[in-house]
Amino acid sequence: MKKIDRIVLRETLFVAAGSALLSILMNAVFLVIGKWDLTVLFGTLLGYAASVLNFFLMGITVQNSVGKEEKTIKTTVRFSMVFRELLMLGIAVAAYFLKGVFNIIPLLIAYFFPRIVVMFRPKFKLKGEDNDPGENNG
Amino acid sequence: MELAIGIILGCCALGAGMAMIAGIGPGIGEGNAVAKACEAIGRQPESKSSVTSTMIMGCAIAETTGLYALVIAILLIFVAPNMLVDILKTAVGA
Repeated sequence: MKKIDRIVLRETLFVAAGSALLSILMNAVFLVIGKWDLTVLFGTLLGYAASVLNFFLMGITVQNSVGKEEKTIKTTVRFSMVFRELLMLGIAVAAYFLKGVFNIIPLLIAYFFPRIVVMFRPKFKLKGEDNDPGENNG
Repeated sequence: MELAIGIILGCCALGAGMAMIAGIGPGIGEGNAVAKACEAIGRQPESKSSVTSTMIMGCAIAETTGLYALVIAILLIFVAPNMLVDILKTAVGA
């Protein structure tokens, strides 16, 4: 098995931390509007796990694409995206049929957390980024 | 009444299927972006770290469009039919 790139791990950890913060914020909002119960919490947790897993799998796909032919890369990335979308759909469908355990609304909202976190990514400089040789060679 | 409910369910399913067409675009775009980024890494291997990082972020952004479509499709399949049927029943008084 190929070793996971430290860049992928770094970005995934950043997204996971940001998404966790947003999940707490969302639960706080549900609490304030009086709609919070355990199903909201479980829905948030499932959505959070699914979105972070989706981001991680995307990172793995990108990492594995390096060094391959252009046509192979395009096919691999498309296949990966279809697979990941089906995974997300499957999780949402499973959550819908387990209505008593998971609330589908926070689950679907949690799917968008990585996008919001990525929007703020340029404002942060993570540990290990300073040692990037590419930054100084331009 | 049954016909109206059938039309609502059919249209919701049709809408969900049409929403998923939006999932095609991000897949193609993401594939092209990653292919070009890998080409750039091949030309300048020393910039691998920064290119990979930017590429992952770009892919995450591109993928959101597909996720929007997915969420709309899920809502159309699971949430909308019940809501619309309830509205219809209220309007008809059944």
